Amino acid sequence: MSFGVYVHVPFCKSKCPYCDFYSVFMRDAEIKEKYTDALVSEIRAFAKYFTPGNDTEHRFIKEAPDSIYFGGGTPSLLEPIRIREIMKALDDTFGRERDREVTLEANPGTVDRDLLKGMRAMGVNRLSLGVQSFDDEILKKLGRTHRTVDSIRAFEDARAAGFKNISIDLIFGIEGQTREIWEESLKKALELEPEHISLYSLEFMEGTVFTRRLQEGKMKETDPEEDRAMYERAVELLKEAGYEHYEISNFAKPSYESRHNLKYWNLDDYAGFGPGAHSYMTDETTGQGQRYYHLPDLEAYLKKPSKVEMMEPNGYADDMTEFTITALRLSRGIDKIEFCERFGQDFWEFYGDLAHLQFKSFMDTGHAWESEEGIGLTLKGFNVSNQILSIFV
Amino acid sequence: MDYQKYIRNFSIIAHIDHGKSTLADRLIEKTGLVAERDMKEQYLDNMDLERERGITIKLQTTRLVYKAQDGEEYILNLIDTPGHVDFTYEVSRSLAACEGAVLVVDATQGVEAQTLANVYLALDENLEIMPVLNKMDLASARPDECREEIEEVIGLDASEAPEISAKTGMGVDELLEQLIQVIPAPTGKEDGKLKALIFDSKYDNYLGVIIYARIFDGKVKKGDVIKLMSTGAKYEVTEVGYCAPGLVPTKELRAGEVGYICGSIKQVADARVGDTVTLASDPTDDPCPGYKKVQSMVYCGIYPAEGEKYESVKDALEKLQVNDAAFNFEAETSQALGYGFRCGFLGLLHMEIIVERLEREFNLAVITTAPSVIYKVVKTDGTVIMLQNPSNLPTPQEIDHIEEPMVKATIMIPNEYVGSIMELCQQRRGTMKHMEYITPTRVALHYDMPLNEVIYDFFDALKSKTRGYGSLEYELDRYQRSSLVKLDIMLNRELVDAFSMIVHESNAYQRGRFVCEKLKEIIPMHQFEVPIQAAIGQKIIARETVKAYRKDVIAKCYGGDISRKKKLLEKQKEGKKRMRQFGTVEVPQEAFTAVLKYDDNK
Repeated sequence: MSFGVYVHVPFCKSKCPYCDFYSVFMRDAEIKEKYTDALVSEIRAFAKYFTPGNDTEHRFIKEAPDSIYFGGGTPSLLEPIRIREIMKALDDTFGRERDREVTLEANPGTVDRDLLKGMRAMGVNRLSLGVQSFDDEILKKLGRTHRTVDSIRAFEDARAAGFKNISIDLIFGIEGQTREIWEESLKKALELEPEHISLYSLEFMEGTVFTRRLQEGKMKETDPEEDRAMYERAVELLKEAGYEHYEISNFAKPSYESRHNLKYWNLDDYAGFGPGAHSYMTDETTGQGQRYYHLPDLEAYLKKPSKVEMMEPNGYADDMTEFTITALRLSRGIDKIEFCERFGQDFWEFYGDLAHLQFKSFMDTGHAWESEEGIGLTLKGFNVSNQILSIFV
Repeated sequence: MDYQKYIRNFSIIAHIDHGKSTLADRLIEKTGLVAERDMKEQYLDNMDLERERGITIKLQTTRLVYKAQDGEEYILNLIDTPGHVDFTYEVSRSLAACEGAVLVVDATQGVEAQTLANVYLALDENLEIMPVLNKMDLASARPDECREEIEEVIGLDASEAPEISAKTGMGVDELLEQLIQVIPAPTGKEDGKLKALIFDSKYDNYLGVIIYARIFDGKVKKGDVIKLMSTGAKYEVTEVGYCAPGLVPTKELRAGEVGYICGSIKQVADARVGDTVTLASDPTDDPCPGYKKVQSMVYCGIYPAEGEKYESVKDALEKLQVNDAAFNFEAETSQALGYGFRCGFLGLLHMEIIVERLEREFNLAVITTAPSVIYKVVKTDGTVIMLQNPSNLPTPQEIDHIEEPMVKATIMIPNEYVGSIMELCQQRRGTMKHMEYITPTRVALHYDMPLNEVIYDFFDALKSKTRGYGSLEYELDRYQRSSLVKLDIMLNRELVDAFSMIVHESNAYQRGRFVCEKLKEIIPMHQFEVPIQAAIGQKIIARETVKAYRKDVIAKCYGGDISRKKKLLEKQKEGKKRMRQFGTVEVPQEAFTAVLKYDDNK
């Protein structure tokens, strides 16, 4: 089994008021060098877990990663030369898989054609553009520093730089965003013909400016009815345009699903580097999934990059639960036979009759389906998926 | 030497919050029993619940030693009384154990309904009453008006009443001196036949039941065989002693003294409050008057919540019963809630306390159904059912008529609230008997009211409408024929028997609407629409609808989020555990009590 690598780049030029990913204001360019050195040293230190014969607490898999993902923060603030250093450390440590997906998240307005060419040359082959909206008013509301023209230019530059796999992020359910404005953004996105689109219903995450404003009554949540109408309209439009709705918030042209993100939803292994990054790696010695993470603290990370917080090893039940609640986010649902082969237990035997009964009640109302081979949620079920997923925790 | 000359047995009586427990604390402190650093606030209220609610539920009795200005040492037995309307009988038995009572009146508030009720109880026992004005440290104290009130309303001479502050300790020495002068010493016959009054009892894991008793005549010691006169049961005494306030064993208890007696008694129901203890070999011919077996007035169902074991609840109820003779329970089943118990209480507060103790002390999750009084159902065939559970009401064809318990209620309020309280009482089917001005600004309203109306939310409504200044006292009066109907609630067209309640015909529509509206607020959205209906017989009288949920989804779920999202889902599931499934509908536990709560906006 291969695994995915996640590299967190915790710098932003300005903090978006809805975002709860860890990032700090980038004061100077020097920090980039220091940070790259820290990342490289963490990656190299990680080698001990991969070397047979080394006496370490944990032993992880040895195959080279088939996905590398630079997320943030704003990874496009790192120069290609830094990306190269990091990639080299990864290759030296884990080996180099020929067919790999290397994604870079980029903000329109922070990239130009040369930079993107550079990134391409360093092996980045997938670009995820944080467009969020094609409406300048909405962009302002979201606290974004770029404008629609920047998004379109960035997209064209990426194509010109040779990117054949580009994803666009859009947000809906924002106060003041009408269905018309939303549909307009969707249509503009479709005109660009990206290979992949992510559509996120705005969430009020703990500790964000938006959440504070919401609590202070200065902002309103979008009416659920309105939010779902936007979602359902988007699903309709994207399907018509030939995209597969493969995960609650994700759409792709055939064979362009995000390989990296599928790892999260399939409970496959991934190793995260950088402050705030999380990992899930199967420990070969115990066969159990091991979660660990870095505290979201850049200063601490720079001092001691290899320090991680180990969590309790996952038991089989944890694995099954986590697999189920993430795999049911996928349209294809869960293959019951695969489940049984992977975990050595029949799906419904594990969850029990009561859970099955509860699940069936969602089938009766058209929220879920079950066939001989698999189970899953319908579009209607996606809308209220927490209700269904909570059967399985 | 006559030792009884140096004993004073007394209680402190007061309206709730007038400072009874604080004064008790000060007395204990003054007489040096408990070092100041060990003083928990309000020493006598020893359950957390009591401290939180500021009321005394379980009695505590304390022996204080006071060196008076005359140079003599006096034994002061302070017998605490429970401070709530539900426990009138217990209060009367505690008072019966005393020669006198200290009447604490909050000088900022004046005489309240409960003050009066307690004074009458004390007068019934021929006690010497010594008024005291408390909270004199507050700027709003008005001692002169208070004295006047005490004299006018109660008819006690209050000119000598000490002005104190139980909080600061001011005036407490004067109080103690006056107490010795005013309250008479006991005059029991030490060589007479044993006659002791049980004023409290509690269960102890090691000693069995501890009887708290006042010895009127004779004496008792370890090894004696005692007899409880109401049951005739005999026990060998294993220990006697004083309450200081912990148990301090002693050789014997003599006439005039207050203390405890143990005799391997298994549950408090065997040593009931008010009963007389005597010697089996030489019983008294003159038992203490006034014994009665306390009756439950309010009933409700208690059911294990989802995931809670029936046996654990039963076990806990048994343990509580061992210590509470006024509480009883028996098994019952509900179609909606499964196996559970029908429990009887003295009143609504008693019920709330038991439920809270189940939750806190035993860590149990339980569901309580609507409290109900006992209805007298006279069937067409002439048989009579004392109905505790509304769902057991026979069909209308079988019923000749129903009678409901009526109470005499006394409500004391500042006069500006008279209008709104009369309106409230009228809504609750009360009939005003008379109204008296106690002072130019304070009014006592005397009402004839159905108990059923009192137990729902009357007290909350009274408090709310009078900004907390209203007080209530009631006692059971009689049964009276009344037009009562059973109100049923249906969720998604299925009857939920645990919600059924008996209401007066004239209130049925209003209550039906109220319950439906409340349930609409409380029942979460489902994946389908949930109609909530109130019905009398086949007739639907109110309806609300809970809409189907439309959105409950995590939009973003990637690597770092999984543990967090899992927790979120677990919390959601935990929330569901607090729900009961009725057919296809999930109902939160609090729905059962919420439909009974007073709502200011209605």
